[in-house]
Parts: sequence; structure tokens; C-alpha cells
Amino acid sequence: MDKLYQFIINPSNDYLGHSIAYIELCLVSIVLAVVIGVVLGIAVSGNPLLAFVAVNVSGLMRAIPVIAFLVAVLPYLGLGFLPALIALTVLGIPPILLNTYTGIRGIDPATIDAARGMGMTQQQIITKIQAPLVLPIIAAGVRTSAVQVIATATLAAVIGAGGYGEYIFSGLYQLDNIQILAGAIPVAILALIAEVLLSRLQRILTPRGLRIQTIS
Amino acid sequence: MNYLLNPLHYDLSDQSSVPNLLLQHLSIVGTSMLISLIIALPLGLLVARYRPLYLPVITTTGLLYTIPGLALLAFLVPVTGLSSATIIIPLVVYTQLVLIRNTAAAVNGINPLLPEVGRAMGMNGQQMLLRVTLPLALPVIIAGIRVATVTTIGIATLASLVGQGGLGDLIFTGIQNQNFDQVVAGAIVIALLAIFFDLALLGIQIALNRGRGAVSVA
Repeated sequence: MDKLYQFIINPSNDYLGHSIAYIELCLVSIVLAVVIGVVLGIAVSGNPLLAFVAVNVSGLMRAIPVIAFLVAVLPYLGLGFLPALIALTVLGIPPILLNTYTGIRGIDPATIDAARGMGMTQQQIITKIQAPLVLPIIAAGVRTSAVQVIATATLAAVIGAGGYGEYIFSGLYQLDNIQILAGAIPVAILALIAEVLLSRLQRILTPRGLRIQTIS
Repeated sequence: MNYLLNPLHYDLSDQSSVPNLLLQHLSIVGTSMLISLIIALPLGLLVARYRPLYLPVITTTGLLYTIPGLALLAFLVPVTGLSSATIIIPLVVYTQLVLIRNTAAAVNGINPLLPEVGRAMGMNGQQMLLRVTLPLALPVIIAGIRVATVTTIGIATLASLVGQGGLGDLIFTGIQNQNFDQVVAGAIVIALLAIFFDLALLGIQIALNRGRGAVSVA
């Protein structure tokens, strides 16, 4: 434990720099993935053909191993922070896109009809009916995607993006347990924090009347 | 592509040739999936029967699933060293959430009328399990196995990092030697392997679903 502390405070290891690089990489890719995923999800929800393509491409992405994807784009994007950012964003999009799409499609048309029958305007229908029903489902997608991005960002060290993965890889190659743990512990903690916070967000976003169903 | 087309990389006497690495990869995935199923199927049946156990088991496996593969592998290196256990334990841990959740969902999704009929016919507990519950739950269980297998094939790439070989060797030695052809070759073979198993298990899933009345599919 003491050695671990020594490793972290040793300036030559640049622990702070790698921490910032890691968190920055994760945060920026998740935010980009959310924006692109939600916009694409809304865009394809009106067009069955586009939706078919999007859903199947997303399914196919799941079959391709993350590390394979990360290194397969390497010859085209090169090494460094930006390629890692692009790769992570692309990996983060499918769960969000799928959930946005299924969330929108899953709204019972009768609910919208009822709202219209009550005299709601189109804007009210969007803000008071559709958004509250879709947001928790999107949040679930963001949760899946965020945890996946945080996990994959470790592997991004392979393509020279820095971060905690650097310690894990060099620790594995040098069989240095201290270095391995210095990389692995914060990654595991970050993933768990993201999971807990986002599942809480998902719960908060769920309209009170629907909450009992979501527990199952 | 050149790497995959070069006949030199198919020399079976060479430990690091593509077919040998593929076999190694498959044996890692196979062993992990076997152990995973041995643990997850009974657990899934258990939590389906004793509902209060469901939430704790799913929460625990869910948290374990959240820990990134590389980190879990790294935690084990100081304990189990560079052995096959170091890669197989994380792989088994990762499959548990999907397998247990799907097994429980499959069993809970069975029309309650059917076990009732089995009991009325005088079946005992074992017969009920083997002739009613499991056959009816199988398609959904296979769906879980399908997701778990595809994930496992991907994460088994990391076996290379703890000296256990597999197709990850192509990727990691390729990165170290700056041989991108080799890296891409590894990525392509792993992706094809994953897609192949995805489709094969999907086929089994569809075949099992065929010929079932509306009652049992529900």
C-alpha cells in the first residue's frame, strides 16, 4: 500500500497528467456519443429504412470486439489522443442510438392521442409526454455506453492515448504489480462511480408513475 | 490483408501461426464458457425459484461486470501470476450477469400453465426440470449464451497480455513491432470469429423456436 502511494506521488510517473488525460478522454467521448447518438436516434425514428440500417449496424458493432475495432482503425487514424477519442465516440454511440430509437418507437400511440384529445399543443406533447417517457430509456443507454467507454479507454493506451492503461500495460510487460494496481484501481473505481451515478440519474428521470415497473 | 494471405503464416508446426493461435483462442473461450455455464445455469434456476435472491445476485454480478476487463485482469496478475487462471477468471466473471439474467428470465417467462400440466401428469421434480422447464427455457438461455460467447471471444484477446496466447498475440506483437498488417489480421480474424458464433448461435436459437405454439413462446 505504501509502495503504491510512493508510485502515485512520484513526479516522474506523471500520475496527475495521466489521470487528467484519462478522465478527459472518457468525458469528451461520452458527451459526443450522447449528442450524436440521440440526434441519430431521433433522425432514424421517422424513417423505417434508415432505422433498419442503424439497428443492424449497431448490432454488428457489438459482434466486433472492442480491441479489434480500436486497432483496426489505427492505420487510418494514426496514434494519439484524437484517434482514441474518435474510436471511443463511435463505440459509445450504438447503445444510445438504439435506446433513443426504441424509446421513441415504444411510446403507445394511444398516449399521444389522449394528449392531443386533451387539447395539448405539439410542443406540449413533446415536452410533457414524449420527453419524460423517452429520457429514462436514453439514460439507460448512456449508462451502458459510459461504462463501456470507461472500460475501453484503458485499451486506448495501446494506440498511444495515455491514461491509466499506460500503467497497466507497462506493468504487465515489466511484471510490476505496483504499477498494474496503480492503473487498475482508479479505472475500476471510475467505472463503478459512473454505473452508480447514471443508474441513479435513470431513476430520477423515470416519471413517478412508471417507477415500480422499472425495478423488475 | 497481406498477412492473412501469406502461406508462411499457416505453417502448423509454428506455434504462432494463425491456425494455432485460433485453436488456442477457441480453447480459452471454450473453457471459460464451459465453467461459466456450470456456474450460471444452476444460479439462474435458483434465483428464478427463490425471488428474494434475484436482486442481490444480479446487483453483485452487475457490479463485477462494470469493472473493465483489463483492470480485472490486472488485479489478478499479482495473485495468480501469468497463468491461464488469470484470463479465465475474468472471462467467467463477465459472462455471469448475462447468463444468470437470461436463465432467470427464461424460466420466469414460461407459461405457468405448462408446469402445472407437468405436475398434474405426475412428474417428479427432476422430470419437471429436464422435460418441462429446461426445454421451454432453452431458446432464451441460448440467447444469453450467444451474447456471452461474443463478448468472451473479444475479451479473450487480452489472454496474450498474460502469456496465454490466442489471437490477441497477433494484435499485441503487431503493435510492438509496428506491423499494422499483423494487427489488422488479428482484428479481422477475431471479428469474423465473433460474427460466426453470433450467427451460428442465432441459427440454433431460431431452430429451437420453430414448431412451438403461441402458448410456449409467450
